[in-house]
Amino acid sequence: MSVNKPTTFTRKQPAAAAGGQSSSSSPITPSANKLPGGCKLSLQNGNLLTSTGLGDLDDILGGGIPIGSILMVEEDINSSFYMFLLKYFLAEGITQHHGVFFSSLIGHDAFDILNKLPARMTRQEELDADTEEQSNQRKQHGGSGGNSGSDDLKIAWRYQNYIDAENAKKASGATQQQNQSSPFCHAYDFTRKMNIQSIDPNHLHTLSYTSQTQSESSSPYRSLYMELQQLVQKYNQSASQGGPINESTKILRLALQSFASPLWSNDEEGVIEFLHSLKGLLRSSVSVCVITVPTYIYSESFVKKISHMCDTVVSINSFSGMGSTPEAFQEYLGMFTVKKIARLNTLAPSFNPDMLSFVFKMRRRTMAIEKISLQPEFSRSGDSSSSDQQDKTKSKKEDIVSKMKSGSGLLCGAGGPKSQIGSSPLDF
Amino acid sequence: MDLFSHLNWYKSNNQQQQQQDDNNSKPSIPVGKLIVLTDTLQAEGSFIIHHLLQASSKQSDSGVCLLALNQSFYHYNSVGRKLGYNLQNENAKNKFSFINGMSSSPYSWIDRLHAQQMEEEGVEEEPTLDNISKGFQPFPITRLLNNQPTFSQFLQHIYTLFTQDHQKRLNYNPLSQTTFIIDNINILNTFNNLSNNNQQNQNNNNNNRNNYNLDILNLIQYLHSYVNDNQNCSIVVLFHSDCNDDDTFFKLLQYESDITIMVNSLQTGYSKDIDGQISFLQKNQTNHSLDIIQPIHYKVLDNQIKFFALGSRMQ
Repeated sequence: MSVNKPTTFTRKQPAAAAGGQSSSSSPITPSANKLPGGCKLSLQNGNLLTSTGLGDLDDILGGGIPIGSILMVEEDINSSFYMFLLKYFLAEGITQHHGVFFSSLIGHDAFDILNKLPARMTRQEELDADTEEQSNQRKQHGGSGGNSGSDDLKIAWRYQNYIDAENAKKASGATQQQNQSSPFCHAYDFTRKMNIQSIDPNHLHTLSYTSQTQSESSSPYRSLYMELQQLVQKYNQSASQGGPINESTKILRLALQSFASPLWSNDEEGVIEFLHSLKGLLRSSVSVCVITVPTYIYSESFVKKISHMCDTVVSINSFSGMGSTPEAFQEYLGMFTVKKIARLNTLAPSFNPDMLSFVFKMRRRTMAIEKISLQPEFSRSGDSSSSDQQDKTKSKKEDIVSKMKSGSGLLCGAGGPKSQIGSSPLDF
Repeated sequence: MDLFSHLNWYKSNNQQQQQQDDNNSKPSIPVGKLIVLTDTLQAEGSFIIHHLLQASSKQSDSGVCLLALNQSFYHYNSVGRKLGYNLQNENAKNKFSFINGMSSSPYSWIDRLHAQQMEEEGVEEEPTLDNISKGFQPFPITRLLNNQPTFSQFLQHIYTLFTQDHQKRLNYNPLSQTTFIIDNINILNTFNNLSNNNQQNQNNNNNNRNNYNLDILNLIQYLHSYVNDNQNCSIVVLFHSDCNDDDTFFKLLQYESDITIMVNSLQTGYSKDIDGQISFLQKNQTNHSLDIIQPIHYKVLDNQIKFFALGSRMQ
């Protein structure tokens, strides 16, 4: 580049490049430096958040769980999808090198659960899983699977450039994320087990109960609280030694499975008392707690009592437990509902979702919580029509179906769902 | 529009002046009243407490004594900063006092078991608490501790805390008005779990469990007659109305109170734009009947609360 005759239009390339290099050596802003690992500040209210381990759940809960709060998960009937949420929470704690406490109040051996935590997925695997998922979906939908191996658009072909650009952006975003030192939330693969070697035994705490220890003290909830208090204060102590909260601060994650189960203790008043004192304890601490509660065995008013003591309340319920799967949600496994939104250090709710009900499904490796969306009526009936019918007409209808799929379903929906089989190309 | 204008809660320094000049009157909490605030899980009513704190901070001669069982002081303080009042300054001006009933281990069994735990480990001295465990304490905060032998004595202790605070404020400024706030009375029930004493007591306790609501109602009655006699203070209690199978206690509260403010979620379900509906039940002083006041909708934003009439557009 000639810099002999600098005009107003000359780019100061060398200088800019040098500046870029020097600034890229310190990409982390000082404010980001101060946060403990695996934490971020809430965009809405500045609370310190930590991840649940499941990105979809973080998004629903306004970014994550605020430190110092209690998240209550209402357990599902006849299935145990709540365990996935609990395992995500524990796995994320181990990956982020947080302190992890787990106790099962229905007598599961704690290490049975902890040895079966999902393995962490790298970013590349995550992307592969995504594409795999997409191609699976396409295969299931039959019609469009054959002719569109890539994201080719047939009708709205003018948008092809847009989609290509989006895909490129996604790919470059992925590589950027990889370069970042520690992401907020990792992805986990339930087909593989987490390497037990990666667990730091000094920061893994469990508590199991025998009938002997229970009879010793008057209320088991009180002795459980005392154990937790000791642990929480230990982490507070080590956190406050390094001055104000900074990068090296270790967050403590508490997870209690099947809390308030009557099989463990029959003391209903003790449950409320425990939660009240736990809430007080957590509010001035570097800890966060997730409890799962088998709420379906209790009366509604008692569940409300427990819910009032917790900060955020969500419930997970499978369709199989509820009886039958609604026609429209064949591909989903159940409902996910937000029952209470935390108000922690804020006047307004900590997050303000558009809706409170979601649906969830299990992909091959992970769990996904999605917004409820009813597909256009015509294309939905197309999906659920039996495959052999499609096979018969496949050769003829392939093109038509693919056109319907790409968005014109509503336009030609006037003929009703059954007209799909007998429809002729003249309909268009 | 706000809660005070809707309920016509105004006060002016001079009664005659009020009739002449409406602008001179300031929103204030009425004196000598029991105000019951009820809410449900879907629609939390704690924002009204913040609203009352805000109104009180704008008046030089009104003070608040807050018994907080549900949130930490840090919470009230940070919400206050968003709403434009500073509880630390208020406390320095003797206008605000805080009784911590949550984050300072209010149960005596915690202390007892903690001592036991240390004894087992052979630790002689109580280790000093670190900064995080101490919590946010910009000024000395009264700690609620349940070390009374019976539940009714514990409630008496709360009554004494309130009246002492009131007398202290009167000594400081004889014209001052005090509002007692309990957030919330459902949690008071948990202190009834006095199985820490001995087995016999526990058995008695189980028999009496059905009466626990009456003990709390007695406290509220005592406080009500106290504020009624003094005519320079009032009492506000928050109650979760969906936590009991039978709503006798809720009805009794409504019957006892001068005004019941009921916060409910919308009957049509969750909406992003409107949080819920507030309905009112006011006791008519002349013929002691209960009047229903026109309900209003509300929306809680980050730094303000919007109240608006049913069907009107949010400004």
